[in-house]
Amino acid sequence: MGRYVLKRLGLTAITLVLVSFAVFAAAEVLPGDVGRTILGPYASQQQVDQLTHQLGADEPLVKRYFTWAGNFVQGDWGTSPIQNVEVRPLVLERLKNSLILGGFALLLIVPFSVALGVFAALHYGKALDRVISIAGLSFVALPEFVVGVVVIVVFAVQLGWLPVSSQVPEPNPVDIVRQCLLPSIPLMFVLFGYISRMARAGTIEALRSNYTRTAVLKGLPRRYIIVRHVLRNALLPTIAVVSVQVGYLVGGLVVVETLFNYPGIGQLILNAATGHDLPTLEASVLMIALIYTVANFTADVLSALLNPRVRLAT
Amino acid sequence: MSTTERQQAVRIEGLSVAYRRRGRLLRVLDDVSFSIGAGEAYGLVGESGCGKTTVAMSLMRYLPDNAEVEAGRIMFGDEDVLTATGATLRKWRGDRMAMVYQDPGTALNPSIKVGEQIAEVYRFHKGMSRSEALAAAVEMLSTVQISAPDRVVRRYPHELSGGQQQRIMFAMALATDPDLLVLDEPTTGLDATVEAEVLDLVEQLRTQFDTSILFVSHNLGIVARMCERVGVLYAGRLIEEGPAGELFQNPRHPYTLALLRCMPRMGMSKDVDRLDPIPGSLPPIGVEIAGCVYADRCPIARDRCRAEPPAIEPVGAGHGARCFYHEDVPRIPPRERAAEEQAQAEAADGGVLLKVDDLVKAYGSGANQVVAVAGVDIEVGRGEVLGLVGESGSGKTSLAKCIVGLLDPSAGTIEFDQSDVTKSNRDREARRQLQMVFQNPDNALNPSHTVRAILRRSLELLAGVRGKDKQDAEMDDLARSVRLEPRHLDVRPASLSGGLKQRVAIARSFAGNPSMVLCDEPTSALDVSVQAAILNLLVDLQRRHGVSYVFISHDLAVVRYVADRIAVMYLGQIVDVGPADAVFEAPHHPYTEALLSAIPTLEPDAKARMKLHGTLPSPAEPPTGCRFHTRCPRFLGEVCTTVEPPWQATADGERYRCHIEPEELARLQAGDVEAAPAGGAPP
Amino acid sequence: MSALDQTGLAGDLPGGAPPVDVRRLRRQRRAELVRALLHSKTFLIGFGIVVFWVLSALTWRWVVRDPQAVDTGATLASPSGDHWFGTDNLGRDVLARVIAGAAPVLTIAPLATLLGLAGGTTIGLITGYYRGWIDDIFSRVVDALLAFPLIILAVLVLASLGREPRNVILVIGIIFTPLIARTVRSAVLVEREREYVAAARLRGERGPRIMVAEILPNITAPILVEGTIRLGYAIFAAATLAFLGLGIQDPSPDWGLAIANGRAYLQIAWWMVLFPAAALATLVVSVNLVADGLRRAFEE
Repeated sequence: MGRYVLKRLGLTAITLVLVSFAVFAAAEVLPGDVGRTILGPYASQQQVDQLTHQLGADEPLVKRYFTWAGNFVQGDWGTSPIQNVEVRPLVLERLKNSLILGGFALLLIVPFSVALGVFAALHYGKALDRVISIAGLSFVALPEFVVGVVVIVVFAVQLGWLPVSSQVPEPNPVDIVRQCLLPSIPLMFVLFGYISRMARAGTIEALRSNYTRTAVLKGLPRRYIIVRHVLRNALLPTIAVVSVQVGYLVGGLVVVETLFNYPGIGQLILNAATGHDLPTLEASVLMIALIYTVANFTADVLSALLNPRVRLAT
Repeated sequence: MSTTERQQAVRIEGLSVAYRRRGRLLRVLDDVSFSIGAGEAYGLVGESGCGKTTVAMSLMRYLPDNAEVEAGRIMFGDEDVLTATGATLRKWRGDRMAMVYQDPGTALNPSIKVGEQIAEVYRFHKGMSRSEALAAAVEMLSTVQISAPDRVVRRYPHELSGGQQQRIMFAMALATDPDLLVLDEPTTGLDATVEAEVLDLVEQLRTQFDTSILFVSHNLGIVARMCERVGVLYAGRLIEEGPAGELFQNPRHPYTLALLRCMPRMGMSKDVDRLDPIPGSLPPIGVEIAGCVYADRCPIARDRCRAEPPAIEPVGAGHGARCFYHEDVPRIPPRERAAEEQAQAEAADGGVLLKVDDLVKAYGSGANQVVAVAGVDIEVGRGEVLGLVGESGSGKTSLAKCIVGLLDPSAGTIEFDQSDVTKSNRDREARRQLQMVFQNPDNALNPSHTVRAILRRSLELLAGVRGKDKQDAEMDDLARSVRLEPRHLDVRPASLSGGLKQRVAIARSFAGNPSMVLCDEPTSALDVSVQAAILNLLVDLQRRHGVSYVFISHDLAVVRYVADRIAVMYLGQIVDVGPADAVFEAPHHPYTEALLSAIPTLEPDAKARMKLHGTLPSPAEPPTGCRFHTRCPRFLGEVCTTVEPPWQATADGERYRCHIEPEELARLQAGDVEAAPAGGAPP
Repeated sequence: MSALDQTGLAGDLPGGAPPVDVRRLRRQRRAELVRALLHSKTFLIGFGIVVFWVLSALTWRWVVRDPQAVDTGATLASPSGDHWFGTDNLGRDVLARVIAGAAPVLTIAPLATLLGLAGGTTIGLITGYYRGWIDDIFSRVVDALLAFPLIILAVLVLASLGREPRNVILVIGIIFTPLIARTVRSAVLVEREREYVAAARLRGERGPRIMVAEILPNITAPILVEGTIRLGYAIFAAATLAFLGLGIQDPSPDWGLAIANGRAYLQIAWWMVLFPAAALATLVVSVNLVADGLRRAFEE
């Protein structure tokens, strides 16, 4: 088991390094001078070149990467040329906000989706199963902004129950719900679609397996079979899916935060990309990649722990 | 059918079951009736599609959702299984009726420890507490002869071997001393020696537990060994039933007779005997048949048979057959002539065609390396058939793949027709000459291509025939040589039966007129009646074209029938090689001896079985000295553990690797001397 | 080998079985597939809606009024007999824009999907069949790629390359390629273990021929299903990018763009947003229903 963890850790580290280079390269090849963006279209080319040189933006790519990476690891993430603030506190602050929103969505929807997926599988073929399956299938297809605007129109504009745009909530449950509920609904729709389908498929496969047949032929009570024999094996693949959802979640956050004007990291990325704010962009995307890889790693280790075949292999 | 005076454990009356598929109702069982007495073992035999698994499942009333019981009762004691409530069924299952079926690896829950899976039965049916149940589980493990039960109880299924897993299934099934034990092909997929051990276990458990048994199998030998009474199913109908010995010695239904005739028995050889396949095929499912269901294939069918369905006619004490003319059955002559005069294309002593020298094949590297083939020498002459025998882990598949060029060997050389073909990148000529027929006909033909397209490709690449017209002309000849008809050419493989698919596969290999064909279990996936036809075909082709074969099979009778010489492999080495009848007679390697005694035979006068100790060592860690010493019943002592055994030669041209000399070995094996204790094998 | 798997043509020796019409058998199987599809209500509903929108995209010029026509007298008008879906802030008829809006999305998304399918199938075949170091590198790259959510990647690239529809197609297509390649690779891994592939190697077939002529025909079902699912995502992604301002530009009647533009007027003219949103929702959901129907029909 230990060896497995170490191996995954190593692979994760390598992936992160690759990602950091990719992020850096992608961001840096965005055409459009940084200098030009800062100074505007009316500055002379000479002034632009001077500023660009000052910012160190004309050195070779690889050298700039190592400079950047070195600084990054030491905690110096640079300054945003557009907003004129230090990048690190900005990014971390926004990240925290997004984690609140994302965490809220996950907390609400994951147990619910899993339960419904398992439930659907246990009633396979019957009406309830069809309803849940089709709901899952449909929800996963709805783009976040579609659900978002519908939800805004209905609950914020027409009914006025919740605010049209959201702010960072106070640390009390009421305000958290007030600010985070509407924005998380679009996220929850898609999450429900994926997770319930995975849970359902995993449960169906476990129900059809030979070991379930053995348990039934041993005359064990139905509830015991489901809880003890089926669920363990059924939910193993679902864990892997949940971690992938974290990755999706971040993408969804870009849209949702824009729609609801929520000061999160998704919105930051969008603005940084369109505004050519390179340090902010690189730092934000890298942080997201970090979150995603950590989530993946945790999921891998978790499913290895739960799967005796992997756990016991030295 | 006949009922015995003693109490019946189970009585099946007029059972008819159908499956609903795409809206149509397809009948799988038609008016099946039989009974199993208390403590009796009843064997149910038949080929695939006859419905025997459905019978087994109906007994436990575990049928899929699309199954419909159209008629009948299954009386278990005083109650009908088919109308019992859910609660009653749950009470019975695992307690009064239990089941063991195929593939124990998937039948056990991979996330739950083995001991707990057994303990569940005690907890829920006997109301024991957790600790009591676990203790009972440990005891049950030793009853099923698992060594170190207190350690095994804490293991997960994937940590145990196939044989051990099946024992766990038996432990679960017999934990509560049930009235009825249903066994559905419990040893299919297990190695021959493991299979024999499991069957030994069943015999032993019977003396301890006095359970009635329904033993469902396609293997007549096993059923003959294990059961007192036997019923034969054909197309969902019970066509003959009777005491095991009587039924197999004196069958009274044409199908039973044909089935017995088409199986190769030990001692039969292609030079002398010819197998007798059954013409035609099973009637398609769901089609209503007026008259006898076997009439289309029956050699003695008359008009009455096609018009009127026969009832079971009494033949003797407890023996009945569903045939109007059962008295004529013993007089039915074999279809094929006993020894056909076949001119051999080339004399069998045409020189050496294939020479394999010290071949080694290893997978992986460093600490994880597994040596599948550990230095093997083989020679095959022109026109000769070499049979290759071995269980899982023997390395025969890896060896075959190296010979034919699918894998590169790690060391050693392969010489074919005097040219070096060690590497897998061979030229067209080498490919044409050395081809292969695979085991599973479903997998071996591309499902998206028509038969014509498949053969066309082979003709072009192997025989160098270009141009559609020439290819089509050649193809007609090729098809005819394997007895395919033109109408078979323009379909996709999915429309063909297993036997036909295998013929296409054989045609494909012969397209370029090879001098050697490697046959890897070519009949193992086929029904017994089809197997005979394919074996006949392979033998005919071999004689006609003077082709050599390397013939791999786990079925020793088949190998004996087909092969001129035989090589036996164990853990990556050849341990015994020589002319076919020499290898199968004493003196021979103890492993060969064990393999032979493991075959369940239809003969009533079987020798006592020679048991092997312990389990198969992993190829990753082969034993020192003689690789077989951990299991050898003729273990001598330290010499077997430390020194690699030398090659011994017998008078009849056989060679084997052992420390015991031929005269001594012959004496031991003839006198059936009781084997020595285990050779230091770990449990 | 179950009792349920017996089909007609058996006959191990000549004269064994009655003759069967081969062509009829093949037509039967295709008919069974179609029948299975038609049986599924969800498939039919989905398919119907997709057909509706495809027709809209093809024929809007002749069916609705000009989506760019401005009615200065009636800006932000609520739905009425004259304008069934109301008008937007420039006085353009929302119904016309909704119907015409099917065209941009149904041009971009299918092209992007085809691009992804072409690239993905090729890479999937190569990495799945040859394995070895190509496969290792590929897996690392895919893992790294997945660390970027699709939207963010698209944002990065489009912000730099410019916001033409052509770039949107390229970005989505290229991002899809490794994802589709993964599915194709899994299918190839299964097929290459089958003995007909070994048989092909034994008769001297070359790698490329084995991949294309032997393996590919047997994996068309999963590719088709994956392609349909990806089409749904492509529509999703294209609309989202338009919404974020990175895709199609004004004055296209694209739905994502319409929603983005209409956000500002949400409180006073909700119809500007709701109808395009509903249209988008129905299209994406119905594509998914079609994909699911196909998947289940193939699993039969």
